[in-house]
Amino acid sequence: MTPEEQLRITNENLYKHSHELAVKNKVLSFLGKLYEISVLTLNQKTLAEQVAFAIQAEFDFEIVGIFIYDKSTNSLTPLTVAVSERVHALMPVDFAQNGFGNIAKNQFLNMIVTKRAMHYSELLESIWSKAEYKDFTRNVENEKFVRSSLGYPLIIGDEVIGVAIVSLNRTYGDLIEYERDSIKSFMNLISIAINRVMLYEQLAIANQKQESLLHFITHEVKGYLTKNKAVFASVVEGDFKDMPQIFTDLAKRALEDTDKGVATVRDLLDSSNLKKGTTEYQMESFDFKVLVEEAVVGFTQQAISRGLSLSLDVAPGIYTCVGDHAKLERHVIRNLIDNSLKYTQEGSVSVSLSISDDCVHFCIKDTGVGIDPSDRSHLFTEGGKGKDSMKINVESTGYGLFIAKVVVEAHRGKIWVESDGKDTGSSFFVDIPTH
Amino acid sequence: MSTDLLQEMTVKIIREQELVIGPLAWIEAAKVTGLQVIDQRAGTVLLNDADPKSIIDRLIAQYEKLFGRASHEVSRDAVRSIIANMSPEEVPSSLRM
Repeated sequence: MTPEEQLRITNENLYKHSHELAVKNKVLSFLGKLYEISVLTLNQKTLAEQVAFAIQAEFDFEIVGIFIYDKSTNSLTPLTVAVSERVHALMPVDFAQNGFGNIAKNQFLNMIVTKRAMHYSELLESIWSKAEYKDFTRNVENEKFVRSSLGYPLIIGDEVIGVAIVSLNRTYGDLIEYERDSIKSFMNLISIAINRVMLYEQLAIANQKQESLLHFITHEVKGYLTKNKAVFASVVEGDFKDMPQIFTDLAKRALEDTDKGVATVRDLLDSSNLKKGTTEYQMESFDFKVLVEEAVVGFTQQAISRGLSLSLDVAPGIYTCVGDHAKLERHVIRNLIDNSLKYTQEGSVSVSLSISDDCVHFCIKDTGVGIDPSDRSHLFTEGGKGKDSMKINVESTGYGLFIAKVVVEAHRGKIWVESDGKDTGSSFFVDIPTH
Repeated sequence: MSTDLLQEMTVKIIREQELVIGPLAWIEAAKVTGLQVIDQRAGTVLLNDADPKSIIDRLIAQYEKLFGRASHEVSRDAVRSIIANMSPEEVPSSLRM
């Protein structure tokens, strides 16, 4: 063999290897594109539309349809049907909206679902068999726009969740390596992506139902508790004469327990309303300093009874703010002071207030149980509480700090906690813009 | 048949070869008589021949001369979806099955 011939053969082999790599690269790149769509889309229909459009455009396919399979009715509902421009020109108006009723009568689709395998046909009419589509199927075949169709089951586990149909202007034998490799891979990806979105949608619906139910129950419970409270309060306040002392004491304890119950239910309701976005904020001008001073005075007796010192240090300045002072007082200031007192068994709780650059800085520092680093990430989440918190505060609902965070953020503020760990105390910080 | 379609086929072939051999695909294309590369990045070419189909034949032969039969298949695969709807006489002879 001459050196020139050797060089030619080497060159040709190198080309073949490069071609194999190029095909794999193209498949991976296209799958990457589909993966990106699947990650960024959380709506079933939008996902199917974008995936079908990408496939149709990449391979010049004439029809790409993605359908959801309903086992109970043995039917296919279209998520999307993407078509080429020339097929679109011939397509009946309702073509992309109609699915397939009972597919037992449609041999092509029935085979895909029952055999759970790819099925192939060179007759478009065998898929879209409705009488009103006869002209359409005949026209696209006569024009040689569609020469064959491939149907694939979309499978998750053992279940067929849908069917994808692609129609093209070539026969299966004319498909090139890249196209065959890609079709196999992207069918798996479509199944996973659609299943993920289906699960997400089901979860969102379940969450919404649970939220509504919780809202309804807590609303009802609050009503009963309020009525009970009124009765116990009447007894305690002496509205009924000649009541035995033992009964009055009992009513007093029941009133305290009912108050706690009302507070818990109110937290749940507030949390639910804040999440649903139905909470209204009454934004008006108020003095943040007065708010904090009144709150600290209100907790002084509780601190004394627990053997704790409660102090307030206010830096000089004007603390006029615009916001919902009632919500800031109840959900943020009072909630944080109450928490610090409850989680501090001995020592002190120090509240401080300062102002700078149009922002009020509120800080509450205690010598309490501190915060374990593993608890910090979920402290401000819904129902999130420290793993040992119930040992110290049995009434903890886990909603207080979540609500505080939502209220602070509604005022464009910031809330955070610092602690060196268990038994080292903690400091909660709140920054609220003055307007 | 429109020259636009033949130009589209030419660019598709060059781009597919580019995936395998890189920028060399454009360098080799520019050597083909009657084929003028206007803008490589935008993918625009001009076919200056009374028989533009023959330019495609020459382009395919140019790649085949360097890289063998495999490159011919790559060229054909690149335009398979287009030639599927062309009558046999419209298809450049090197692309006929």
